[in-house]
Amino acid sequence: MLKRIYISLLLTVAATFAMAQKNYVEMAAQYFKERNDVKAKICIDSAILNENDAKDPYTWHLRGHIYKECYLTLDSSDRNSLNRLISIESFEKSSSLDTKNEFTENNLSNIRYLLNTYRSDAVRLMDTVNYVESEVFYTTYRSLTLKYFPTTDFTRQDVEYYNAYATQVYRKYNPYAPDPEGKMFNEVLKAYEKVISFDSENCLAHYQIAIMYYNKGVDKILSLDPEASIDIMNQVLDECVALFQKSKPHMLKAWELKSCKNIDEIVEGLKGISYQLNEPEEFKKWEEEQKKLRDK
Amino acid sequence: MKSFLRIAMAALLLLFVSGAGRAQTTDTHVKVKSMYVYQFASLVDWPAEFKKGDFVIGVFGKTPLYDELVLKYSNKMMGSQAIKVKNFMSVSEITACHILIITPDNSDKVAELVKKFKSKSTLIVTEKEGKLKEGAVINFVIHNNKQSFELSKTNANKIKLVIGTKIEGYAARIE
Repeated sequence: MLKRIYISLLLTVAATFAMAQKNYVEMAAQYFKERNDVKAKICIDSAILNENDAKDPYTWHLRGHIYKECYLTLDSSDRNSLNRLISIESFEKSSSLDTKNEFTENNLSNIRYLLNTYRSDAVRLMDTVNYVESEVFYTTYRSLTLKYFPTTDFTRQDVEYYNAYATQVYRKYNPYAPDPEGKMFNEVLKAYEKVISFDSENCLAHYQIAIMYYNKGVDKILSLDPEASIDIMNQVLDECVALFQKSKPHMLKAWELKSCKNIDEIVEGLKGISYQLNEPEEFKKWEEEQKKLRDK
Repeated sequence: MKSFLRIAMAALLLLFVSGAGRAQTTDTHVKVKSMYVYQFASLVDWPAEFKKGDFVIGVFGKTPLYDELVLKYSNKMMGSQAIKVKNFMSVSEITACHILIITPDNSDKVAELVKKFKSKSTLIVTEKEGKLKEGAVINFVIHNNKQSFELSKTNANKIKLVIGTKIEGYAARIE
């Protein structure tokens, strides 16, 4: 309500100084005041076609508000509404023309509000079905935020978001479902690698990558046809050694970080890896470590 | 308000974060060894007199490898011969076998068993370093982090076994 009063006041002041040719702007302001957003939108879009109106930061500022209302009310905050983006662009245009700094602060505050709605959409879509679409909204939020607020530090947000994202991809992944090209397996790995790219010390991501490689190796051996040829058998064993070797540095990193809650599972994982890689000394070492943890 | 919103969003995202898979602690070694034993049975040529009756795989000592062999291969056919898997707990119990696997605990009996089954073309498989020198034909070893085996063609020739080239190709070492 306060917002409406502020905008109406702003419009009244602006209208006082408006020139005769700014009819469309005045009309848009009037319709907006009367909450007729559809007509306000038509008028403001006509106004920006006028050379003088198009140079006025107020025109774009008003357009930003009209489109924002259209997004919030007419479109009921529909995540695919174009009105949101047009609103942001209009507020930006207004700021770029605003040499007297009359609208910039309000423009930026509205842009920030609208950008956060992209993040909300990304969070809302965070599940095993919609995570791909969720990422589209998050990357839009991220790129637009950096465009308008270039000094924003995304480190923490990226880690939080991609941790949640990777969890959804992992939940969807079924290691026993047919996945001959390893599409889903790679998707999960990619998601956790992304977390690591933002936070190289993320214990959970390192642990999950290690587990993915390790379990894939074990599954490959267990699913070998007992009567497979010696060629196939050796090919699979070579692939498994490579998988266990890929698993090892991530599991060791998780162990070194010591920030995961499941430290006992990490030790179990390291024991398993050394067993699969036929490293008896290492195996003994992790077995002793496991004993120490149990005795604590 | 802004920081509250951020905290709320972060908290919401945290709800979506959960772990975590677990390492499957599964004994894959017995599976791999049993598959190798099956390969030896398939790719080694025994003298004609041993190509009739059952194809006997003997296991001397207590090992999960025996159970795995029974589970995966017992009663399957090796050419025209049905595979039989037998477990022996003492030297005196051991009867003629096509393949005899000797567990590490019993590896001090290798030389004795080589002598005992010299005329039976028994392919003796061990799991301890240095046993080829005592007459075993195949010894399981680890090579480049992988379960592999070493092979004595000399010992195989002595008991009239012809080792297939495929097996030779995958041996970590050949004597």
